Amino acid sequence: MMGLLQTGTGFWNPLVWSVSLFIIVLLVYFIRFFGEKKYKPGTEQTMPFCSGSHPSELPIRANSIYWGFFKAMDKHYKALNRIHTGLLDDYVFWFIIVIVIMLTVLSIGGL
Amino acid sequence: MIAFWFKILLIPIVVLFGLFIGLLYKGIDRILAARMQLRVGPPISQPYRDFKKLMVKDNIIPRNAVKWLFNLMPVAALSTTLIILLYVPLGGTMPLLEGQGDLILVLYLLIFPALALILGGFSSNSPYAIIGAQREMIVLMSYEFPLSIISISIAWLLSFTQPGANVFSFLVITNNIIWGLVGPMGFIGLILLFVVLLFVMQGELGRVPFDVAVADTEIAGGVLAEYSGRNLALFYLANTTKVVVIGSLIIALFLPWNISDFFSVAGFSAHIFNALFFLIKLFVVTFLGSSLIRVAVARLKINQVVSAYWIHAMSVALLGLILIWVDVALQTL
Repeated sequence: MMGLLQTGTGFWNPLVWSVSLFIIVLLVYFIRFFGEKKYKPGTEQTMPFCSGSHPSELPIRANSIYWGFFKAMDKHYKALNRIHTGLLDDYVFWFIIVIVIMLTVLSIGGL
Repeated sequence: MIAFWFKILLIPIVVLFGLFIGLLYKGIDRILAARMQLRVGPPISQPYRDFKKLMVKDNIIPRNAVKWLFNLMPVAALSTTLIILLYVPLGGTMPLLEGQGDLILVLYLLIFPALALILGGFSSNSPYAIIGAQREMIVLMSYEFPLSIISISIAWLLSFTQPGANVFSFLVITNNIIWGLVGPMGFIGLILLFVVLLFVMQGELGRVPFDVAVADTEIAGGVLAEYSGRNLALFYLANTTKVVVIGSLIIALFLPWNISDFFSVAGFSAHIFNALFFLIKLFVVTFLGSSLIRVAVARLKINQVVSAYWIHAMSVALLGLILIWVDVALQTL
Protein backbone atom coordinates (compact mmCIF):
# COMPACT_ATOMS: atom_id res chain seq x y z
CA MET A 1 0.00 0.00 0.00
CA MET A 2 1.33 3.41 -0.96
CA GLY A 3 2.57 5.59 1.88
CA LEU A 4 2.85 2.87 4.54
CA LEU A 5 5.61 3.75 6.99
CA GLN A 6 7.24 0.84 8.82
CA THR A 7 9.64 1.31 11.71
CA GLY A 8 10.45 -2.34 12.23
CA THR A 9 8.23 -2.57 15.30
CA GLY A 10 5.26 -0.46 14.22
CA PHE A 11 3.54 0.83 11.11
CA TRP A 12 1.06 3.46 9.98
CA ASN A 13 -0.05 5.12 6.81
CA PRO A 14 -0.24 8.94 7.11
CA LEU A 15 -1.94 9.28 3.70
CA VAL A 16 -4.80 6.95 4.63
CA TRP A 17 -5.02 8.63 8.03
CA SER A 18 -5.24 12.09 6.43
CA VAL A 19 -7.92 11.05 3.91
CA SER A 20 -9.95 9.32 6.64
CA LEU A 21 -9.65 12.28 8.98
CA PHE A 22 -10.75 14.66 6.21
CA ILE A 23 -13.88 12.58 5.59
CA ILE A 24 -14.68 12.36 9.30
CA VAL A 25 -14.18 16.11 9.81
CA LEU A 26 -16.63 16.72 6.96
CA LEU A 27 -19.14 14.38 8.64
CA VAL A 28 -18.69 16.14 11.98
CA TYR A 29 -19.16 19.56 10.39
CA PHE A 30 -22.27 18.14 8.70
CA ILE A 31 -23.68 17.20 12.13
CA ARG A 32 -22.65 20.60 13.52
CA PHE A 33 -24.37 22.39 10.64
CA PHE A 34 -27.79 21.29 11.98
CA GLY A 35 -27.16 22.89 15.37
CA GLU A 36 -28.30 26.36 16.41
CA LYS A 37 -25.75 28.96 15.30
CA LYS A 38 -27.11 32.04 17.05
CA TYR A 39 -26.33 33.66 20.40
CA LYS A 40 -26.42 37.21 21.74
CA PRO A 41 -22.93 38.74 21.46
CA GLY A 42 -22.11 41.61 23.80
CA THR A 43 -24.81 40.73 26.35
CA GLU A 44 -24.61 39.20 29.83
CA GLN A 45 -25.01 35.84 28.10
CA THR A 46 -21.37 35.93 26.99
CA MET A 47 -19.89 36.75 30.40
CA PRO A 48 -17.77 33.80 31.61
CA PHE A 49 -19.46 32.02 34.52
CA CYS A 50 -17.72 32.89 37.75
CA SER A 51 -20.27 32.17 40.49
CA GLY A 52 -21.34 35.83 40.54
CA SER A 53 -17.82 37.28 40.69
CA HIS A 54 -16.06 39.08 37.87
CA PRO A 55 -13.53 36.79 36.09
CA SER A 56 -10.73 39.24 36.90
CA GLU A 57 -11.35 38.59 40.61
CA LEU A 58 -10.36 34.96 40.17
CA PRO A 59 -6.97 34.96 38.47
CA ILE A 60 -5.61 31.47 37.82
CA ARG A 61 -1.83 31.17 38.04
CA ALA A 62 -0.20 29.15 35.28
CA ASN A 63 2.10 27.33 37.68
CA SER A 64 -0.86 25.89 39.58
CA ILE A 65 -1.07 23.29 36.81
CA TYR A 66 1.53 21.13 38.54
CA TRP A 67 0.00 21.38 41.99
CA GLY A 68 -1.46 17.86 41.80
CA PHE A 69 1.90 16.37 40.85
CA PHE A 70 3.81 18.28 43.54
CA LYS A 71 1.30 17.26 46.18
CA ALA A 72 1.10 13.59 45.16
CA MET A 73 4.85 13.18 44.70
CA ASP A 74 5.75 15.28 47.76
CA LYS A 75 7.89 12.57 49.42
CA HIS A 76 9.67 11.89 46.16
CA TYR A 77 10.48 15.58 45.63
CA LYS A 78 11.72 15.95 49.23
CA ALA A 79 14.05 12.98 48.75
CA LEU A 80 15.32 14.49 45.49
CA ASN A 81 15.79 17.89 47.11
CA ARG A 82 17.95 16.32 49.83
CA ILE A 83 20.38 14.78 47.32
CA HIS A 84 20.35 17.90 45.12
CA THR A 85 23.29 19.49 46.96
CA GLY A 86 24.84 21.56 44.16
CA LEU A 87 28.23 19.83 44.62
CA LEU A 88 29.75 18.38 41.44
CA ASP A 89 31.22 15.42 43.34
CA ASP A 90 27.75 14.35 44.45
CA TYR A 91 26.36 14.51 40.90
CA VAL A 92 29.25 12.41 39.53
CA PHE A 93 28.65 9.94 42.37
CA TRP A 94 24.96 9.58 41.45
CA PHE A 95 25.84 9.39 37.75
CA ILE A 96 28.17 6.44 38.41
CA ILE A 97 25.58 4.73 40.65
CA VAL A 98 22.88 4.99 37.93
CA ILE A 99 25.30 3.69 35.25
CA VAL A 100 26.18 0.72 37.47
CA ILE A 101 22.48 -0.08 38.06
CA MET A 102 21.70 0.18 34.32
CA LEU A 103 24.63 -2.04 33.35
CA THR A 104 23.64 -4.59 36.01
CA VAL A 105 20.06 -4.71 34.70
CA LEU A 106 21.28 -5.01 31.10
CA SER A 107 23.73 -7.77 32.07
CA ILE A 108 21.01 -9.75 33.84
CA GLY A 109 18.76 -9.27 30.82
CA GLY A 110 21.54 -10.66 28.62
CA LEU A 111 21.60 -7.63 26.32
CA MET B 1 -6.75 0.23 -4.74
CA ILE B 2 -10.45 -0.57 -5.27
CA ALA B 3 -10.52 -2.21 -1.85
CA PHE B 4 -9.09 0.98 -0.35
CA TRP B 5 -11.79 3.22 -1.86
CA PHE B 6 -14.44 0.71 -0.81
CA LYS B 7 -13.15 1.00 2.77
CA ILE B 8 -13.26 4.78 2.51
CA LEU B 9 -16.93 4.53 1.52
CA LEU B 10 -17.59 2.46 4.66
CA ILE B 11 -16.25 5.18 6.98
CA PRO B 12 -19.67 6.89 7.44
CA ILE B 13 -21.19 3.53 8.48
CA VAL B 14 -18.52 2.98 11.14
CA VAL B 15 -19.00 6.58 12.31
CA LEU B 16 -22.77 6.14 12.61
CA PHE B 17 -22.27 2.83 14.44
CA GLY B 18 -19.92 4.48 16.95
CA LEU B 19 -22.23 7.45 17.54
CA PHE B 20 -25.37 5.33 17.89
CA ILE B 21 -23.86 2.66 20.16
CA GLY B 22 -22.10 5.30 22.26
CA LEU B 23 -25.38 7.09 23.00
CA LEU B 24 -27.19 3.78 23.58
CA TYR B 25 -24.61 2.62 26.13
CA LYS B 26 -24.75 6.02 27.81
CA GLY B 27 -28.49 5.48 28.26
CA ILE B 28 -27.93 1.98 29.66
CA ASP B 29 -25.18 3.27 31.94
CA ARG B 30 -27.47 5.98 33.34
CA ILE B 31 -30.29 3.52 34.01
CA LEU B 32 -27.98 1.02 35.71
CA ALA B 33 -26.33 3.74 37.80
CA ALA B 34 -29.77 5.00 38.85
CA ARG B 35 -30.99 1.51 39.80
CA MET B 36 -27.86 0.88 41.88
CA GLN B 37 -28.64 4.11 43.75
CA LEU B 38 -32.30 3.08 44.19
CA ARG B 39 -33.51 5.68 41.68
CA VAL B 40 -35.76 5.10 38.67
CA GLY B 41 -33.41 6.85 36.27
CA PRO B 42 -34.06 8.35 32.84
CA PRO B 43 -35.39 6.41 29.84
CA ILE B 44 -32.82 4.68 27.64
CA SER B 45 -33.41 7.28 24.93
CA GLN B 46 -32.40 10.17 27.23
CA PRO B 47 -28.87 10.67 25.73
CA TYR B 48 -30.41 11.04 22.24
CA ARG B 49 -32.84 13.62 23.63
CA ASP B 50 -30.02 15.42 25.45
CA PHE B 51 -28.08 15.65 22.20
CA LYS B 52 -31.15 16.93 20.35
CA LYS B 53 -31.78 19.51 23.07
CA LEU B 54 -28.19 20.77 22.98
CA MET B 55 -28.40 21.19 19.20
CA VAL B 56 -31.28 23.67 19.51
CA LYS B 57 -29.74 25.71 22.34
CA ASP B 58 -27.78 28.94 21.78
CA ASN B 59 -24.17 28.32 20.82
CA ILE B 60 -22.65 30.90 23.18
CA ILE B 61 -19.07 32.05 22.70
CA PRO B 62 -17.75 33.75 25.85
CA ARG B 63 -16.43 37.30 25.80
CA ASN B 64 -12.67 37.47 25.02
CA ALA B 65 -12.52 33.78 24.16
CA VAL B 66 -10.23 32.67 21.32
CA LYS B 67 -13.19 32.18 18.99
CA TRP B 68 -11.66 30.01 16.24
CA LEU B 69 -10.01 27.67 18.77
CA PHE B 70 -13.13 27.58 20.94
CA ASN B 71 -15.24 26.50 17.93
CA LEU B 72 -12.63 24.17 16.42
CA MET B 73 -11.90 22.04 19.48
CA PRO B 74 -15.31 20.29 19.75
CA VAL B 75 -14.96 19.29 16.07
CA ALA B 76 -11.38 18.12 16.71
CA ALA B 77 -12.42 16.13 19.80
CA LEU B 78 -15.20 14.25 18.01
CA SER B 79 -13.23 13.74 14.78
CA THR B 80 -10.16 12.33 16.53
CA THR B 81 -12.34 10.06 18.67
CA LEU B 82 -14.19 8.73 15.64
CA ILE B 83 -11.04 8.07 13.61
CA ILE B 84 -9.78 5.64 16.28
CA LEU B 85 -12.82 3.47 15.51
CA LEU B 86 -11.31 2.82 12.08
CA TYR B 87 -8.15 1.33 13.62
CA VAL B 88 -9.57 -0.93 16.37
CA PRO B 89 -11.42 -4.23 15.79
CA LEU B 90 -15.18 -3.62 15.92
CA GLY B 91 -18.07 -6.07 16.03
CA GLY B 92 -15.88 -9.16 16.00
CA THR B 93 -14.19 -8.20 12.72
CA MET B 94 -10.81 -6.73 11.88
CA PRO B 95 -10.45 -2.91 11.87
CA LEU B 96 -11.69 -1.13 8.77
CA LEU B 97 -8.16 0.24 8.21
CA GLU B 98 -6.41 -3.01 9.16
CA GLY B 99 -2.76 -2.90 8.11
CA GLN B 100 -2.75 0.92 7.97
CA GLY B 101 -2.07 1.55 11.64
CA ASP B 102 -1.23 -0.37 14.78
CA LEU B 103 -1.66 -0.28 18.55
CA ILE B 104 0.98 2.45 18.95
CA LEU B 105 -0.97 4.69 16.57
CA VAL B 106 -4.17 4.08 18.55
CA LEU B 107 -2.40 5.00 21.81
CA TYR B 108 -1.20 8.26 20.23
CA LEU B 109 -4.63 9.03 18.78
CA LEU B 110 -6.22 8.53 22.20
CA ILE B 111 -4.35 11.62 23.40
CA PHE B 112 -5.95 13.93 20.82
CA PRO B 113 -9.53 14.12 22.21
CA ALA B 114 -8.16 14.98 25.65
CA LEU B 115 -5.86 17.61 24.13
CA ALA B 116 -8.83 19.11 22.25
CA LEU B 117 -10.71 19.32 25.55
CA ILE B 118 -7.72 21.01 27.20
CA LEU B 119 -7.27 23.57 24.40
CA GLY B 120 -11.02 24.22 24.35
CA GLY B 121 -10.91 24.94 28.09
CA PHE B 122 -7.91 27.26 27.82
CA SER B 123 -9.51 29.16 24.93
CA SER B 124 -12.69 29.79 26.96
CA ASN B 125 -11.34 32.72 28.99
CA SER B 126 -13.07 31.39 32.09
CA PRO B 127 -11.38 30.69 35.44
CA TYR B 128 -13.37 27.48 35.93
CA ALA B 129 -12.57 26.25 32.42
CA ILE B 130 -8.87 27.01 32.89
CA ILE B 131 -8.82 25.09 36.19
CA GLY B 132 -10.62 22.23 34.44
CA ALA B 133 -8.14 22.28 31.54
CA GLN B 134 -5.21 22.21 33.96
CA ARG B 135 -6.76 19.26 35.77
CA GLU B 136 -7.48 17.43 32.51
CA MET B 137 -3.82 17.83 31.58
CA ILE B 138 -2.74 16.27 34.88
CA VAL B 139 -5.20 13.39 34.50
CA LEU B 140 -3.98 12.80 30.93
CA MET B 141 -0.33 12.65 32.04
CA SER B 142 -1.28 10.38 34.94
CA TYR B 143 -3.10 7.58 33.12
CA GLU B 144 -0.79 7.49 30.10
CA PHE B 145 1.96 5.78 32.11
CA PRO B 146 0.01 2.67 33.23
CA LEU B 147 -1.65 2.49 29.80
CA SER B 148 1.79 2.34 28.16
CA ILE B 149 2.97 -0.38 30.56
CA ILE B 150 -0.10 -2.51 29.76
CA SER B 151 0.36 -2.17 25.98
CA ILE B 152 4.08 -2.86 26.12
CA SER B 153 3.52 -5.89 28.41
CA ILE B 154 1.14 -7.48 25.90
CA ALA B 155 3.43 -6.72 22.95
CA TRP B 156 6.41 -8.07 24.90
CA LEU B 157 4.53 -11.29 25.71
CA LEU B 158 3.59 -11.73 22.06
CA SER B 159 7.17 -11.08 20.95
CA PHE B 160 8.23 -14.18 22.89
CA THR B 161 5.45 -16.45 21.68
CA GLN B 162 5.27 -15.07 18.11
CA PRO B 163 8.88 -14.24 17.21
CA GLY B 164 9.16 -12.18 14.06
CA ALA B 165 5.48 -11.19 14.06
CA ASN B 166 4.42 -7.54 14.18
CA VAL B 167 3.33 -7.60 17.82
CA PHE B 168 1.64 -4.19 17.71
CA SER B 169 -0.63 -5.22 14.85
CA PHE B 170 -4.24 -5.86 15.87
CA LEU B 171 -4.27 -8.83 13.50
CA VAL B 172 -1.52 -10.51 15.55
CA ILE B 173 -2.99 -9.40 18.88
CA THR B 174 -6.51 -10.70 18.20
CA ASN B 175 -5.36 -13.94 16.55
CA ASN B 176 -3.18 -14.85 19.55
CA ILE B 177 -5.36 -14.76 22.64
CA ILE B 178 -2.93 -13.82 25.39
CA TRP B 179 -4.63 -15.86 28.15
CA GLY B 180 -3.59 -19.08 26.42
CA LEU B 181 0.05 -18.03 26.08
CA VAL B 182 0.87 -17.94 29.79
CA GLY B 183 1.00 -20.25 32.80
CA PRO B 184 -0.71 -19.63 36.19
CA MET B 185 1.68 -16.85 37.22
CA GLY B 186 1.36 -15.05 33.92
CA PHE B 187 -2.41 -15.50 34.14
CA ILE B 188 -2.47 -13.57 37.44
CA GLY B 189 -0.24 -10.95 35.82
CA LEU B 190 -2.72 -10.53 32.96
CA ILE B 191 -5.63 -10.20 35.39
CA LEU B 192 -3.75 -7.39 37.16
CA LEU B 193 -3.14 -5.63 33.82
CA PHE B 194 -6.82 -6.03 32.90
CA VAL B 195 -7.96 -4.49 36.20
CA VAL B 196 -5.56 -1.55 35.77
CA LEU B 197 -6.85 -1.02 32.22
CA LEU B 198 -10.41 -0.80 33.56
CA PHE B 199 -9.24 1.98 35.90
CA VAL B 200 -7.45 3.72 33.03
CA MET B 201 -10.77 3.57 31.15
CA GLN B 202 -12.37 5.71 33.87
CA GLY B 203 -9.65 8.33 33.51
CA GLU B 204 -9.91 8.30 29.71
CA LEU B 205 -13.65 8.83 29.96
CA GLY B 206 -13.33 11.47 32.68
CA ARG B 207 -15.80 9.72 34.95
CA VAL B 208 -15.99 9.34 38.73
CA PRO B 209 -13.60 8.96 40.56
CA PHE B 210 -11.36 10.63 37.95
CA ASP B 211 -13.76 13.37 36.79
CA VAL B 212 -11.81 16.19 38.44
CA ALA B 213 -11.61 18.10 35.14
CA VAL B 214 -15.37 18.65 34.96
CA ALA B 215 -16.39 18.17 38.64
CA ASP B 216 -19.82 19.87 38.41
CA THR B 217 -20.21 20.36 42.16
CA GLU B 218 -16.74 21.91 42.59
CA ILE B 219 -15.88 23.85 39.45
CA ALA B 220 -19.25 24.03 37.67
CA GLY B 221 -18.37 21.78 34.76
CA GLY B 222 -14.72 22.89 34.69
CA VAL B 223 -13.27 22.50 31.24
CA LEU B 224 -16.77 22.51 29.70
CA ALA B 225 -18.14 25.34 31.86
CA GLU B 226 -18.44 27.81 28.96
CA TYR B 227 -19.52 25.37 26.27
CA SER B 228 -23.16 25.25 25.21
CA GLY B 229 -25.34 24.41 22.23
CA ARG B 230 -23.89 22.54 19.29
CA ASN B 231 -20.30 22.85 20.55
CA LEU B 232 -21.24 21.11 23.80
CA ALA B 233 -23.26 18.57 21.80
CA LEU B 234 -20.12 17.59 19.88
CA PHE B 235 -18.11 17.20 23.10
CA TYR B 236 -21.01 15.12 24.46
CA LEU B 237 -20.87 12.85 21.41
CA ALA B 238 -17.07 12.60 21.69
CA ASN B 239 -17.41 11.40 25.27
CA THR B 240 -20.11 8.82 24.55
CA THR B 241 -18.23 7.53 21.47
CA LYS B 242 -15.04 7.22 23.49
CA VAL B 243 -16.79 4.50 25.52
CA VAL B 244 -17.02 2.43 22.33
CA VAL B 245 -13.40 3.25 21.44
CA ILE B 246 -11.90 2.31 24.82
CA GLY B 247 -14.24 -0.67 25.22
CA SER B 248 -13.24 -1.98 21.77
CA LEU B 249 -9.56 -1.52 22.61
CA ILE B 250 -9.93 -3.49 25.86
CA ILE B 251 -11.86 -6.23 24.02
CA ALA B 252 -9.16 -6.42 21.31
CA LEU B 253 -6.37 -6.71 23.87
CA PHE B 254 -7.95 -8.97 26.47
CA LEU B 255 -11.24 -10.47 25.20
CA PRO B 256 -10.91 -11.01 21.44
CA TRP B 257 -12.90 -14.26 21.31
CA ASN B 258 -15.63 -14.74 18.73
CA ILE B 259 -18.66 -16.92 19.28
CA SER B 260 -19.31 -18.14 15.72
CA ASP B 261 -16.79 -21.00 16.01
CA PHE B 262 -18.41 -22.17 19.25
CA PHE B 263 -21.80 -22.50 17.52
CA SER B 264 -20.21 -23.73 14.27
CA VAL B 265 -21.83 -20.90 12.32
CA ALA B 266 -20.33 -19.64 9.07
CA GLY B 267 -20.94 -16.96 6.46
CA PHE B 268 -23.10 -13.92 7.11
CA SER B 269 -24.72 -15.52 10.19
CA ALA B 270 -21.28 -15.78 11.79
CA HIS B 271 -20.81 -12.01 11.41
CA ILE B 272 -24.19 -11.39 13.08
CA PHE B 273 -23.35 -13.75 15.95
CA ASN B 274 -19.92 -12.17 16.44
CA ALA B 275 -21.31 -8.64 16.28
CA LEU B 276 -23.95 -9.43 18.93
CA PHE B 277 -21.33 -11.12 21.10
CA PHE B 278 -19.11 -8.04 20.70
CA LEU B 279 -21.95 -5.80 21.93
CA ILE B 280 -22.39 -8.06 24.98
CA LYS B 281 -18.65 -7.92 25.71
CA LEU B 282 -18.74 -4.14 25.27
CA PHE B 283 -21.60 -3.94 27.76
CA VAL B 284 -19.71 -6.07 30.31
CA VAL B 285 -16.54 -3.99 29.92
CA THR B 286 -18.38 -0.66 30.20
CA PHE B 287 -20.37 -1.92 33.17
CA LEU B 288 -17.28 -3.15 35.04
CA GLY B 289 -15.00 -0.31 33.97
CA SER B 290 -17.41 2.58 34.16
CA SER B 291 -20.91 2.15 35.61
CA LEU B 292 -19.94 0.03 38.62
CA ILE B 293 -16.90 2.09 39.61
CA ARG B 294 -18.58 5.47 39.24
CA VAL B 295 -21.47 4.43 41.46
CA ALA B 296 -19.32 2.66 44.06
CA VAL B 297 -16.78 5.39 44.80
CA ALA B 298 -16.58 9.15 45.29
CA ARG B 299 -14.53 11.65 43.31
CA LEU B 300 -10.82 11.77 44.11
CA LYS B 301 -8.87 14.96 44.64
CA ILE B 302 -6.39 15.88 41.90
CA ASN B 303 -3.35 14.81 43.93
CA GLN B 304 -5.13 11.53 44.72
CA VAL B 305 -5.69 10.98 40.98
CA VAL B 306 -1.96 11.33 40.38
CA SER B 307 -1.17 8.94 43.26
CA ALA B 308 -3.81 6.47 42.09
CA TYR B 309 -2.31 6.24 38.60
CA TRP B 310 1.40 6.96 39.09
CA ILE B 311 1.90 5.01 42.31
CA HIS B 312 -0.89 2.45 42.76
CA ALA B 313 -1.95 1.63 39.19
CA MET B 314 1.62 1.73 37.94
CA SER B 315 2.84 -0.53 40.76
CA VAL B 316 0.10 -3.06 40.02
CA ALA B 317 0.82 -2.88 36.26
CA LEU B 318 4.56 -3.37 36.86
CA LEU B 319 3.77 -6.31 39.17
CA GLY B 320 1.67 -7.77 36.36
CA LEU B 321 4.55 -7.29 33.92
CA ILE B 322 7.03 -8.93 36.33
CA LEU B 323 4.69 -11.92 36.85
CA ILE B 324 4.39 -12.36 33.06
CA TRP B 325 8.18 -12.05 32.72
CA VAL B 326 8.77 -14.71 35.42
CA ASP B 327 6.13 -16.93 33.81
CA VAL B 328 7.76 -16.68 30.37
CA ALA B 329 11.20 -17.25 31.93
CA LEU B 330 9.95 -20.41 33.68
CA GLN B 331 8.41 -21.69 30.44
CA THR B 332 11.64 -21.21 28.51
CA LEU B 333 13.78 -22.98 31.16
